[in-house]
Amino acid sequence: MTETDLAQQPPETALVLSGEDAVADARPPRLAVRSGRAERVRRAVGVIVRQPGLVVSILLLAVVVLAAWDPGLFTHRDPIAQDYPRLSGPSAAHWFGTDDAGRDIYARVVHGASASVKAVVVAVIVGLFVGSGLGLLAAWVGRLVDDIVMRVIDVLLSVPALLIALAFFTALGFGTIHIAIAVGIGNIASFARVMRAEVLRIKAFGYVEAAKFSGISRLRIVTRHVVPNALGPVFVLATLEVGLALLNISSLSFLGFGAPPPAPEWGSLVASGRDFLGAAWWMTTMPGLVVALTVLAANRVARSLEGNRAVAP
Amino acid sequence: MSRKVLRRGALAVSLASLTALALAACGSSSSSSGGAGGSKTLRVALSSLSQCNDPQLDNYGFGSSIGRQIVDSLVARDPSDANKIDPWLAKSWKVSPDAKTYTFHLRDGVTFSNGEKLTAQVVKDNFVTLAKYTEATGSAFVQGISSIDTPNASTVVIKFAQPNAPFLQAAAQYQLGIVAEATLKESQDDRCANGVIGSGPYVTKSFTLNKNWVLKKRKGYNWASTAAKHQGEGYFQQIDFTFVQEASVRTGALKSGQVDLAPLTFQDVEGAKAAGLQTLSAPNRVPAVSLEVNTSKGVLQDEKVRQAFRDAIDRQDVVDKATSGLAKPATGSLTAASPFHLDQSGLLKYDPKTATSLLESAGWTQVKNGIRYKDGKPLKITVTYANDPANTQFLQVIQADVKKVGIDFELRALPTDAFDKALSTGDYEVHRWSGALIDGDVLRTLFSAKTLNKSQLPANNDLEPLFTAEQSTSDPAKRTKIIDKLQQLIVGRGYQIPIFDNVTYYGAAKDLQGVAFDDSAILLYDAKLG
Amino acid sequence: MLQYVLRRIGHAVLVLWAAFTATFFLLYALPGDASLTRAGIGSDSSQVSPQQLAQIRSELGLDRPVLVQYFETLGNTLRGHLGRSLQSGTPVKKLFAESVPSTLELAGAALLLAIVLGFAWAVLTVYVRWEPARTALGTVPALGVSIPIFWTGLIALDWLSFRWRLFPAFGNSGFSSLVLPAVVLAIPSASVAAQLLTRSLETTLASPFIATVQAKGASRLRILLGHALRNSVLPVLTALGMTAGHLIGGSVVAEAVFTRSGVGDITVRAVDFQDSPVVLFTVVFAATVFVVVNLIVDLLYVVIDPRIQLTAAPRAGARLQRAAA
Repeated sequence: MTETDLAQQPPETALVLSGEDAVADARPPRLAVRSGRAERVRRAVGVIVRQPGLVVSILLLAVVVLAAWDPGLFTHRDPIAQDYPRLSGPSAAHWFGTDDAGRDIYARVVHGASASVKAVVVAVIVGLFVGSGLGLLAAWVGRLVDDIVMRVIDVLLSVPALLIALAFFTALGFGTIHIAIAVGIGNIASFARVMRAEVLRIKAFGYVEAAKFSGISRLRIVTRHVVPNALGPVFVLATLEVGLALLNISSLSFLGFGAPPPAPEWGSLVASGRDFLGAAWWMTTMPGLVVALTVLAANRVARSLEGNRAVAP
Repeated sequence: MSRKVLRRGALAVSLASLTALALAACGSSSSSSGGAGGSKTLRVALSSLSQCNDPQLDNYGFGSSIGRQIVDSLVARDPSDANKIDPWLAKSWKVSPDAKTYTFHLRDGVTFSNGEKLTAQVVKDNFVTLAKYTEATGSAFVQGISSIDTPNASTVVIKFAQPNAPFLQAAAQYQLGIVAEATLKESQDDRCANGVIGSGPYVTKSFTLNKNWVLKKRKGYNWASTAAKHQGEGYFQQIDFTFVQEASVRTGALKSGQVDLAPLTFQDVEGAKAAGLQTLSAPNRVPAVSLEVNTSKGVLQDEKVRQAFRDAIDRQDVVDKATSGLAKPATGSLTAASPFHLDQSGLLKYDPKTATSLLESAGWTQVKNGIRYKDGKPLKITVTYANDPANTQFLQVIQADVKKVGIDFELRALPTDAFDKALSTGDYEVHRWSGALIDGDVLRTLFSAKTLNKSQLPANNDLEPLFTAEQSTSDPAKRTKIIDKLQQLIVGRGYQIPIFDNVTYYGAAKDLQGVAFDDSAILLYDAKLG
Repeated sequence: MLQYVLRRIGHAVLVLWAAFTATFFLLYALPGDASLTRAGIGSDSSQVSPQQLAQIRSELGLDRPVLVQYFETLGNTLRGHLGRSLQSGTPVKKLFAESVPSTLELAGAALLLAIVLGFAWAVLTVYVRWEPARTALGTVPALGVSIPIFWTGLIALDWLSFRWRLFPAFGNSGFSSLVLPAVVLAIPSASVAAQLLTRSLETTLASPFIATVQAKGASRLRILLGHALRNSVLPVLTALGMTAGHLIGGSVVAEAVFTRSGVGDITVRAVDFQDSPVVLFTVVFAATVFVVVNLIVDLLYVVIDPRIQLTAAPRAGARLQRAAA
């Protein structure tokens, strides 16, 4: 491990992947990328059979994505129709109860999946691409560029995400995608750091220098050798960030920066239900449970992608 | 030091903390239920933040809650008759027939909490200083003063350049509460930051901006208005105000006895009653919660569209869904409790049929996906408002209602400052408004092209002469007629679309008595526990 | 070493300046206008005509060219004149004095709790041998990171304060009003710490040197606490560096739910009203905390593991190059 990359180590994931820890033993990553991947897939299938928790999590995420794709699969009710008796609790007719305007909460949650999934995807993609790009740049070019890029990242971390979010809202109006971009910008730092640490680690190994000597162009080295090897931890971070992004989006809604009504985005549902804790606890609790379970499932999947060891379900 | 020792140390610390935690919890529970009968401290939870700790200068919540207990006004509104004015700091007064000259005779013996005496000079300085701060609400009432004379220490003669009929009512408001000379000498920023010195029944003891405020009793207070139920000092040694923004936390605090008085959201009123709390209601006597229409923009330039929009709103539905049925559908431009109310319920019926025929005759005949189109353009109306759950709630119901006749009602929520900007630049088609002045003059301040011009009317529109007449007529009967005519025009033409008469609910501890409301202000002078 | 520290401090100052500048221009570029709040435009009782606004704006100095405003603000800030809130006129220093201690208290308590709880939970999870219990213990932190703070906060309030009356719902009065917010705020960080440390411990326990210690006859507990822990701490430490940032962010929500007067609370309102002096102060505060914590974490690395070299060392690749030449 070189210089200050330990100081820049990404927090949540990369360190404990595949048995590597912070005080690195200098095991080189696999050179032949393809066989490594096939190995991992085979192992994954075996793992699933032994871990029901993981299976449930994957199923749950699949349900969420399906609901986002086509809400009609899960409910026939109109999420903004105010036709039902208001403030009635969970029942056979209304699984999640109804809200203060007489709307069916289950229908709203189902339709809200699409807004939330979109938002999360945007947030993670923004972080992933911009962040990884910056991290790659910083680590590959090194020296001054490295310093500058990392300082920019630090500044991004210091300016409150709230302010960035507000910049979007006042300029472009409240909207789920705008929150998503704001949350994504908050993610950039994590992705940048993970990518940078990985690239630095890979760079330090002999085979990269060897590749340079054998005349392969720099670009080819980066795209064929460095990036594919570095992506592992980055993708794991992405799955973790899915959960975090969903939580951040809900929190911003809670603070009043949510999607405009009557959009049934999950975070807005939880936020607007909180004034009804006494009168109608299900308005906050049901969407809140859905958020929590989705985040839980995403994290579970992330953890299993991380470890080669069998993690107890 | 080995890790093991460190580790053991950490475990010990956590055990100790847990023990301390448990002990503290036991200790705190007794103090949190301190509101038991006959207590000397009143604990109030407030919901709205203030920007400035000065009842004259703040445009938000300060004056109506905390500020009202600190300052006295020249006169007071009678609790049983909104048109009747009772003596307070002024024991008597005279208004000239042309409503240009107001003479107040001050009572003796009034002192401020810093020892200063109340004199005519102090009153004069109050109004002169206030007139300079044009952004303060109260300032509008003291504009246009041509002179203030103080023939002796207890007589103030105020002369206006133009007739000013609403001034007497205004003098009862907290915005025209009288403050000490020491306060008047401070800069605006300092007054806002430090608070004011008044002559009221309670005095500031300590505060943290927008978190809490502690008032203590003013010893020797003896100049309450005759509108009050008792004379002499207030009943509490101390009043603690805490700003609690979360509605459910306020309600929970009430129910668990951590506060004695707090505003309730509509949906919590039932639960509060069930928990054995009192629910006090303060009907608003100002303009009904309405949508103010910008007649210079979008599809609302057409009067037929405005009228159709007005008829397409099911006000009972709005009230049922957004206020748990506790507010009342509007029956006119001003609320039913307002002294200048004119019944226009004929215009404010839910009438989708008429709305539809109006829209059809205005050319909005194509329908696609439930929305009407004309020449390829959709019938879209955008409401601009400050992002706030209470607003969002009722606007969403309107959205669903008007969709039924084919209007696409879009909600445009903005952060506070951006909303203010939109208002000041006329960047809105429709926005939500209420208004905080009881007098019918509020219609002038809202709609006159010379002041706020909410409907963006051209400068020489036909309402202006009526506004001028209303302000300068001192004959109440004539004035009422003019204000009636104004209401008919404003609502009939769709400049203002009243939705509902707002009511503010408060939850109070079972043994709390004597809390009164003067429209938006809470009066705690007569309040006592047990 | 000294060179390293100085360089890091230099970076820190640079970051602070950049954050300040970025925030200033971001605020300036936004539409909206803090003088409007002064004028009470959005309140139902304002009677200010648009013409009167111009006067207020010039009083607040908002109509001067942006660069002039920037350099003046920067100069003032460096000299310690932090200005007054545009909304309320309160001196920013006074806001600072009232809110910073409260936030530091909350974040500090939460950090401490996160460390203690996280460590204890991880050690317990790894120590227990019975699989079902291990599974159960391992699942709890997963829940802890999944549930939004405002939700746990409101539920905690409802049960622990309103129903069982164990803690006050608001107020800054001492220990009892700190407990609920600190615990609620600590849960996500404690969970992350627990998860990380668990995995890290498991990894370490699989290393060869542990087998050696085992062969020497050490008990499980001794191995765990005496050997494994020390070697597993590093990734958690890094995580805690980032956690400080999350705690400051999370305190915004905690302060809203628990009615505490802190920096986060002030930030939300200042941002909503575009109250530049206050927003600038909160950004500088957050940036400072972030930078200081990271610096401390970096320095702690050296203390914990002497193998880590912080000074510039030639890259492994360069050595190879020279060898091949």
